[in-house]
This record gives sequence, structure tokens and C-alpha cells, in this order.
Amino acid sequence: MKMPSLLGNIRILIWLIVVVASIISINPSFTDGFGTDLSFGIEIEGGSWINLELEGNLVQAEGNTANMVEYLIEERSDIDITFVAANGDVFTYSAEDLAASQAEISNSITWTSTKSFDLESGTFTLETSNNTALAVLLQYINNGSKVTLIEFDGDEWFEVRRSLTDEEEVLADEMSTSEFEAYLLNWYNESLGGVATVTDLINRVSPETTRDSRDIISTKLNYLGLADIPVKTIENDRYISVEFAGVELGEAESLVTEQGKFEIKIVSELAENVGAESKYELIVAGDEIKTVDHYSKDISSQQWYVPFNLSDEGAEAFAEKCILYGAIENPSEHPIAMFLDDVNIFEASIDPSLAASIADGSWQNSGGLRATLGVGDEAGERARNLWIQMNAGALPVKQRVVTEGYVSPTLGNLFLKEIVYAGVAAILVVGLIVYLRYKKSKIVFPLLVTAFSETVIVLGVANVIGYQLDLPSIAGILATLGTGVDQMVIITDEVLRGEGSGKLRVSLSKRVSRAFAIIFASATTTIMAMIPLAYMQLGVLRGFAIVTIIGLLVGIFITRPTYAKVINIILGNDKSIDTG
Amino acid sequence: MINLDDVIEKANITQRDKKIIVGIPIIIFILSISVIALNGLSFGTDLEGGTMVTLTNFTVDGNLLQEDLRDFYGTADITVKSPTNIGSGPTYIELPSNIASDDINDYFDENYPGTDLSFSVFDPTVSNQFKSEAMKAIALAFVAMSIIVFLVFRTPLPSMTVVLSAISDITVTIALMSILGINLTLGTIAALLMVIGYSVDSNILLTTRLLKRRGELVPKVRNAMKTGLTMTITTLCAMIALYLVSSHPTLESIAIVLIFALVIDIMNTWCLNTGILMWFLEGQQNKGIRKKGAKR
Repeated sequence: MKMPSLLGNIRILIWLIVVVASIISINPSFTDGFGTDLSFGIEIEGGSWINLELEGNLVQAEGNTANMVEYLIEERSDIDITFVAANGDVFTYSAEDLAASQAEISNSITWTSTKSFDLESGTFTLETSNNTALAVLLQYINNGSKVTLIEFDGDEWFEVRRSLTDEEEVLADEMSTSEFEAYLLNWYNESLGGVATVTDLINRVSPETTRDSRDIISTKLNYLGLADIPVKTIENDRYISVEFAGVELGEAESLVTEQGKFEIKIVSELAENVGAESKYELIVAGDEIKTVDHYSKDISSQQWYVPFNLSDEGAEAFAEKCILYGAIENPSEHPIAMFLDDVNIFEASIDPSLAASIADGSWQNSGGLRATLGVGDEAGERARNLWIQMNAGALPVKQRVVTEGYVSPTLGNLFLKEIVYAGVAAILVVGLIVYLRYKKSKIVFPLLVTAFSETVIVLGVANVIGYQLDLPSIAGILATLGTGVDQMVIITDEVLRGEGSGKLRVSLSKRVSRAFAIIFASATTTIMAMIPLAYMQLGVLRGFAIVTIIGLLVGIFITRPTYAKVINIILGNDKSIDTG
Repeated sequence: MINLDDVIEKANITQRDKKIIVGIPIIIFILSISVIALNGLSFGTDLEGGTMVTLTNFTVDGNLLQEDLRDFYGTADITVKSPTNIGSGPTYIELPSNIASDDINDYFDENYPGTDLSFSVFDPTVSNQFKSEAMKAIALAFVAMSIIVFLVFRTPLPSMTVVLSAISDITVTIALMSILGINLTLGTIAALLMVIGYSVDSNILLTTRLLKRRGELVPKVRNAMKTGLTMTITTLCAMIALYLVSSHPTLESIAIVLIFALVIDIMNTWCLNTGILMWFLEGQQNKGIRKKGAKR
């Protein structure tokens, strides 16, 4: 055929370049059986996947501050008080025999920014914001679960890290999402007993919390020597997804739930002094660490730090070892270090004031300890990392497996084999039908080559953007193969129709542009129908939508124009169009 | 060999009573809605919660295994599906999600050693979420599709017909799935969304050819039909090939759903849509003649 004129055409040249680039990207090789650079999802490669959800609610609530404060004090201290006056965020209450009840009342309002008692008039005054009162109230009705004010989708929400009870888990399984959220909202309002009202509720934790937990899991797996395990958040940071290639489900589960080995040690002999590596002695193991609070910045010193609390036994051991190894007299010679799975992650001398209070025996465990990392953004980043590492023992929020699975390599291979067979069978069948319809092999051949090249280009594009091919996206490739052939049939029919149809004969360029009008209309419609899916949180069908959209775009911009051109040249009608 | 021209000649759609060619698809559409309403839909483990176990390297009769498993776990809520020829493909088990995968592993290790097991476990809570989001996605896809179709044709009736055809394709397919007990899964929902694409392809072809081209109505319909049927038949045969080749549940169910949908699309495009469009165009022609007459 007329190869020079085919290759001389710019559209065909572009097509050829894209096809070659795609093949290079896919990089098929035959050395070790057939292999490619394509990355497949776990359901094809074989391995385990686990999706976790963190338990908690996002709630919006409103309530009168004075009422909420009164309710909280009365509930916690069991003392009747009366509201006297409010002035902005400052509230005054009175109580009978305030002198006797002062201590209890004071203990029940540790969360207010100021408080003062006037025993003469029998009144006390405190200052708190509406949001603080709401947060404390929400925490109170949830048995002390952590409550934080966060931003989600541009609104302020309270994140309540509340675990589901057994009965609630059963309900959650039986009810639809919206029914269960309505149930929870009702539970909140009943528990609040009218003191405040929860106006909106989403049964999830904040994206931030999910991302933090993702990093904790990922860090933990890293320390276990599993650096290649992808841990990511999915569905708008709602779930955490972990994929273990080639690992069985039971093992994968224990890897996710297993705790890292965390230890606090003290330097008994510093490297400079002994000439080799520093020598460490164990102070406490991870199970003596009661809580690790969120990293933050000290307002006065601007230092970043991670606060944590030891158990009473742990605190005792801490003071004892500090004295024993000389950290009190000489803190810089005997720093304290933290180890995660035997890797040193933090080392610092104890603060002189802490050393002093340990020495005179005035140190109390209740204040907790701080790992301080210094000033500036970089120190903030290190504080976050340390916090993640300290948490690697356990997630800050209760986790729940929502979906999990294991695909044996046999099944994954079966799937891939069937896809390839089906693809070959489909191309042969389509070729046969097109041949029967047009009885011209010079139409069948370009059509099949174009259809096949389209699949190659879609695979190439997917590979370049680093897209992992899962089952739904392979279904998407089948879909585009189907619409691709459909559209080429439309072009062929429009081009052939002009041949000898008498008075209605239209110019070839017009016929081609007519075919494209139909193709554009239907491709646009399908793309528009797929866009909501590509943006929907439902990650599972997102792959299908994205691949279908890529396929349709490749079709209308690269392969369809090429096919139209080739079919024109082949049918010997080329002279009449060049711009169409 | 069957010739497409002969088929179109025999079908002779342009000369049929429009009440019949429009009426039958509409009756089928309404019947389908009632079938879905009465029979309900069955969802797969991914949309309802539960465990799906896939056995490869397993050649025991599925009915026996089902009996055994039901006895062993003391629940009737276990179904086993075997391939038509035992050993020719994987066997599938659906169980409630509260049976631990370790348990099942142990059961097969003990009773059928050497069996290769794959699992997928879906918590009902997240399945509910998937389900409502999948439904929302389908609804949104239809809204987006309708808007574009209206923008392309700018005439209400023909645009509505294209949208109606797509809705009917999906509804009748879902009704067939309901009757035959084919589960709605994320895979079959992907297939139903593909149906939107195919349905729009053939219906936009027909509507463009009839509304935007000059010439006699009857040859226009016939030409459109020739192109459209070629399109649908190629896809249909490709799907039949996929169905015959595959034993993987996702592939098999996608293939069977598309086979149904494409056959239904032939009816909806070439009877329902064609009938309404011809009726619409003849009405416009008559109006045009009347207007011309009045001017004179």
C-alpha cells in the first residue's frame, strides 16, 4: 500500500509515536516468560489487602454555655449551684456553703481558662468559651473519649474518638449508613438530655486522624523491615488501605495489629568516654508507657515536644535509674534514649529542673514527661515523626477491619490469563464480523490494528501516570475497546455511504466530519456520565471511570482521527480531504 | 450466511404499527419495574457484607460441600457454586462475615488438603456505604448524561427518548438479573455503567441520523440500523467470547450482564426510540405542510 503517504500524514505520525512510546512504557519482555512493567492490583498479583476504619464521630453541636457549665459542675461534683450572671465568656455561679464545696467544684472545672472563688459572697467566677464547654460536655457523655475541634469540608466539627459498643456494632451492620447516623445522633441527644443539641453527625473520624494513623501503621511496618508495603488512605481519608503482595491474610492481619517494640533506655557510658558505641541500660519497656499525647509547641519557649505519661511503676523505675546511672549530677553524660524495634529514634539529656526535682524527691509522675525537639518547622516535623514512632505500639484510635481479602497467586494468574484470552478472542470475533459486513480485508485490518493500538495506548497512559490496574479498571479497558470499535464502524459507514448514492452525494470531508459529530456527542456523554464516578468517594469504581475516560479521550483525539485518515487513504479518496 | 440487509428488510421496522413497536418495549419496561419491586435485588458479598471464598485446585461436588459446611457451621446461610464441569474452574462459597477466614482455612486444611483458597471479607457497615454510594453514582451518571444529550439535540422529545432508552436498558437488565438470581456487585455495577456508554452510542447515532440529516426517512432509518446493528453485534459477540472464555466470577458476571443489556438495547433503540422518533418527525412534517398550506 501507499506507505509514504501514510507516514507523511501528521496524525498518523503522532499515532505511531504514541503507540511506540506506550510500548516502551509497558516494556514487554519475553526473557522470563511474558512480562511487562505494568503494575497490577493485588487481586491480580496475589496477596492480601486490609481496609481499616477508625472508630469515632464528627459532630456539630450547639448549647447555652452557662447551662452546660452548670450541668457539668453539678454532674461531676454532685453540688447544687445557681447561675448568677454572665458577661461574655465569663460566668458567675453561687453555691451554698461554698467554703466546704470549693475543692470539689474546683476539681470539676479543671478545663476552664480562669476560675476564682469569692467565699464572702458565696459565688465563683470562671471563664470558658462555648466550644470548650461543648467539647467537655461531649467528652463527659462519652466516658472521657478524646474530643477535639477540627475542620472538615470547610466547617468546624468536634471529633469524638468514641468506640462502638457491641450492640452498636450489630446495629451498624443491620442499618444503612444514614439510618445508623440518625441512630447515633439520637443517642447523643438523649445522653445530652437537653443541655445541648447535636445538630449534625457523620460516623467517621477526621481526615487528619486517619492520615496520622496511616503514618503510624506505615512507620511500624517500616521498622518491621517491610518498607514496600503500600499504606494509603482511601475514600476521602476515611479508610486506611494496606496491601501485602504475596502475604497470606492471617500474617497480614497480625502485621497490621502487631505492636512495635518500644523501649526507653539510659546511656550508662557515653561513646566519647569508652571510645566505642555508647552503652545503654533499659529503663522501661513500651507497656509502661500509659499515654502518648499529640505533639505540640510550647507557647512560651516555642519548643516542639511530644508529651507522654509513664505508669507509676514506670515512673519509679525512671527516677531510680536516673539516680543510679548519674543522670542527675551529670545529665549530658547520661542522656535518655528511645528505641523502636532496637533502632535509636530519640536521644536527649534530661532537663536540669527535672533532674533537680528527681534528686530532692519532689518529682511526681502526674505531670508526665516531655520529649523536646527544639524550635522551628524542622523540629516540628521531627516532633511529628517521634510522635508517630512512639505510637507505633498502638494506634491512638480504635481500629476496625471493614474489608479484607486474600487472592492466591493461582487465582490472580487465572484472571490475567482469561483476560488475555478474552481479548484475543474478542479481537478475532470482531474482525470476523467486520469482514462479513464490509467484505473488505483492507477495512478489517486497519480497524483491528487501531482497536488494538488503543488498548496499548490506554495501558501505556495508565503506566505513565503510575496507575495500578485493578479489576474495575480492566473492565474499563474492555468498555473502551467496545466503544472504540463502535465508533470506527460509524466512521466506516459514513465514509462508504457516499459511494454512488446518487443525488444525495456529499463530499468526503463532510461525511467524515458528520461521523465525528456523532462520535463527539456520544463520547462526551459517556465521559460526563463517568466524571461523577471518578470524583465519587467510591474508590472501587473510580478505576473503572478513570480508565474509561482515558480510553475515550485517546479515542477521539488520537486513534479515531488516525483511523479516518487511513480509511480515506486506503479507499483511495484522499485527495478531497486534508483538513477534515 | 445471514445478510444484515435481509434482516433489516425482514424487520421492516419503518412500516410496522408504531403503537406496537413503541408499546412493547414500554410494557417490558413497566413489567421490569414491577419484577424488581416484587422480586427484589440480590446483592453480592461486596455490597451486602459477607465472606466470599474462591477455591482453586478443588474438584469436589459443590452440593456435597454446601451440606458439609452448613452442618459444620450450623447455618443455612452458606451457598456454594461449582463450575458446570467440576474442576474446569473455581468453586465459590458465600458465607456470613462473622465466620473467620482462619477458621475456613483450617476446615479446608483438614478436610480437603491442597485446596487453594482466596478470600474477600466485607463488613456489612462498609458494604452499606458502598451500596449507597454506588446508587448515588449511577443516579449522578444519568443526570450528567441527560444534560449532555439535551445540549446536543436541543429538542425535548428526542433527547428524552435517548435517556429513556438508556434507563430502560438498565432497568430491564436489572430485572433479568433479579429473575436469574445474578447478584448486583461492584463488578456488575461497572457493567451496568458500561451499558450507558453503549446505549448512548447507538441511540445518538440513530437520533443524529434522523434529525440532523436531509433525505427520506425510511432509507435514513435503514442506514442507521445497518451501522447501529453492526456496532451492537460486534460488542455482543465480543462479550459472548468473554463469557465463554472466563471462569472468573467478575469477568463472567460482567459478560453476562452486557450480553443481556445489548440484546435489550437492540429492542429499545430500534423499536422504542425509532418508533417515537418517526412519530415525532412525521408530526413535524405534517405541521410543516399545514403551515405551508396556510401561507398560500
